[in-house]
Amino acid sequence: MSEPIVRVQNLSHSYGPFSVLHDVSFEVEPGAIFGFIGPNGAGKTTTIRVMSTLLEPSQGTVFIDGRDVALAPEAVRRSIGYMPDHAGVYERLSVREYLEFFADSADVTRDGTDYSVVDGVLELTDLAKLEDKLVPTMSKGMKQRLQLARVLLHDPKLLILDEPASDLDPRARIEMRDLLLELKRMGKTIFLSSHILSELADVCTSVAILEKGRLVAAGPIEEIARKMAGESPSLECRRVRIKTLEPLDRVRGALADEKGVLGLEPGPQGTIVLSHAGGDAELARIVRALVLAECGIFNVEPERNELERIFLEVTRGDLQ
Amino acid sequence: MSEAQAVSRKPPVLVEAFIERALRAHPIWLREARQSARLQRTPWVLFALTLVVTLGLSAFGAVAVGDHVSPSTIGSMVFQAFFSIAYIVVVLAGSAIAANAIAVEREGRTFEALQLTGLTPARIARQKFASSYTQLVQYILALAPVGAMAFVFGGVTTTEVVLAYGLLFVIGALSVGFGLALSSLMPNMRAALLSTVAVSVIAGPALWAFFGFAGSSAAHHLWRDVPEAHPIWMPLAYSRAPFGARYVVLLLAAPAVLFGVPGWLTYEVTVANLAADADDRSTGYKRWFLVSTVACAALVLAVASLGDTGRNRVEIGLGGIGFLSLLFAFGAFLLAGDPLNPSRKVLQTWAEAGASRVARALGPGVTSGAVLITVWGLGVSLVTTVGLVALGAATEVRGNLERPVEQLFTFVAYTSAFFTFLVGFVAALRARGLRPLVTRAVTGAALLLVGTVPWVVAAIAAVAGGSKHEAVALAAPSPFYAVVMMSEIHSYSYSGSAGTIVGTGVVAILGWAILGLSLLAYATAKRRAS
Repeated sequence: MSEPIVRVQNLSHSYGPFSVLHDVSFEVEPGAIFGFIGPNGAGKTTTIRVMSTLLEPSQGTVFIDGRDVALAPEAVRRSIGYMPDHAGVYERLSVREYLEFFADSADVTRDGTDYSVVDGVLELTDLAKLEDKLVPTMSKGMKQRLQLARVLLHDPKLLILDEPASDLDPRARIEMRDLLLELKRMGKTIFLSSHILSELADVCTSVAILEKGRLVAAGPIEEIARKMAGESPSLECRRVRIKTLEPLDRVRGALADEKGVLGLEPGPQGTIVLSHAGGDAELARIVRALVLAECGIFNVEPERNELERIFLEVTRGDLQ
Repeated sequence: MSEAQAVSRKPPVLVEAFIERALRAHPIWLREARQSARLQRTPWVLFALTLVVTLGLSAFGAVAVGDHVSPSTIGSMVFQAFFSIAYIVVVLAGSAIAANAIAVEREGRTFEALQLTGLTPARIARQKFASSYTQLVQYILALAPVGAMAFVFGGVTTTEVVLAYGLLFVIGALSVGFGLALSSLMPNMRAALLSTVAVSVIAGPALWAFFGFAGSSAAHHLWRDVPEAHPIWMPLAYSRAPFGARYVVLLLAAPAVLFGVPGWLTYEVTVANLAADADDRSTGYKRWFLVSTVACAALVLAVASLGDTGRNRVEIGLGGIGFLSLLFAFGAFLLAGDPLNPSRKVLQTWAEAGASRVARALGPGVTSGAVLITVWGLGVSLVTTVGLVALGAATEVRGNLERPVEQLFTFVAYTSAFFTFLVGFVAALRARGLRPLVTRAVTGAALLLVGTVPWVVAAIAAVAGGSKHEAVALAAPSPFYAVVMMSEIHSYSYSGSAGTIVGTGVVAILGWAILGLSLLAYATAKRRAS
């Protein structure tokens, strides 16, 4: 197994008398898209700022690519690309000038005058045709792309993105998601903080869930789900939404003798919500029974995605 | 690749490549120059400023001509008026431009991105300075043609005008440095601009009036060719004073120290404020303190050496020691910003670099810093005092020097003891966990109380009856009591009630010294325990 690119060990932090992080520990494997989830005020941004060398932790250690962020921040900064939520931009600068400025500042130009690295990130983020546009006149989605382009300039191994899709319109969100998947294909590790679970569910392979400054779950999504199914009786019951041409009574009749069916009830937009025990194999058997009973089924989907179920289960939803 | 592309991508000629590389090596300056060039209001502001100053000076000239004043007098008056206005413009504009420089990055949420590029705080500070100073130079250059109006009338030479511009550039650099130091502290542009302009509006004219008129009077006293009551006297002094020891000390060394010491401080403050909490934010300002105190002490000795008699030299030195004491007290306030202990990062850097004991003492750590500042301050005071006595003895018979030397030692003993207390007090407060701002506020309040309350008590005792001398002796804990002790020594009266004043003063000196050392010991013990 490869060495984790992020290792957070017993991280705690306080702002004066206010403790915001308590003994948080997790690891991120190289090449993963890691979702960092939690309600507003849970401590996500504090953790991210510690990881990004912008804040010295009160207690605990954070290693990025094998280096302690508190002891070797300069080296860590070369390994990470940090994109904060609501990052600012400079006025009266074009997209190219903006990127050239950061390329010069990070000293990543070849020979001081060769900006092929800027051309590369403009191409990758699909901003090449906007290179002469003034940054403040760009849309929010394009500005987010520009921020992503900025953090890619020095070719970091790890991208730390704090709420990258917040305030974006649906198209910009989809484009951002596709861009992240492309970056993963290029071998980047992506640490993604968000409270929009559907957005994370589409791309993340592993997650950490934070509530009131405490880590309540961490690891690959399936592993957490499996573990929780063993621990929590409520997770033994799965709920799916079935879109069918038949009325509820006909479906109920077709499944009357099926073991594992725990309940059927009307769902939103003419769907039927099926509660069943067991996993995917059990669901497949139930669907087969409906097909054999000549029920016209044209869609079966989880009532909630796996991540939403886990999140609701492990967090209490208290105000924080 | 096509031929056209190949041509367009050929390497630039050597000079162009050099210039481009030099510009690219200063990305912040280059970016802000670009942004500034695209700001449409800049030419209009410069035009309006030039127009207003030109019209004002023309009106001034017209009134003067109407009064049948000679052209050379008008030229001299125009010179004084123009450079006084230019001085105010440079002080206000320089600090205001710089005030925005760093605060705009914090408010615009671009500062973190800048930090993460790997640019060091020192490089950011220098480039921000260069950028703000470049903008200020535009204002000075825009005013240049107006300044040439003095030539039309005469009364000043080309050299004097050029020197006046040179001074304007130096004052501009100082005002930009001050604005940057404040800007680096402030979280947003409004706070930075308001605080900077508020200080500049008060301090700028006050310094102009003091150094202008008092300096001009002193310069006229020393060099008759320098006119009196002309606030822009320095360029005239540079041009008209005869070259010699007095010229070197008062017109070259003194301005170099008086501009250099605060200028360097603003740089160190800016760098420290831009650095992260875990960085070494102490070495810079401690190095500043050590070098500045030595430079100021050397200046005190140099100025004292210009005295005609030994007695005169010691008396000049006494004033200089008073000035040094203020610098030492400022050092104690700077110490309040030191972290209690070095961070893990600093300790690791020291270990990797095999840092010496001196390097470690200069680094973060309140108690080590307190010991360093105390020892250094006392050492500089002692060397300066001995130097002054030697200077005095070189030209005076022993008997004539006895009283001034006794006064000097009394003053140095009191200020040194009180300085030890001040540093110990600051170290003890920090060791108890008080934050830097609170420590500075408490220390300031304590200074105010110690400075004034003993005098109130003495005044009440005098009103209540009893000996006046005995009542005054109650003010011994106040540092201003050193002046009373010197006065008693001057009046040759050591016996009877006057002896009480000197005696209580000695007790106060011992008291402050013992208290200061105890507080330092307490701070050290507290830090070790933590």
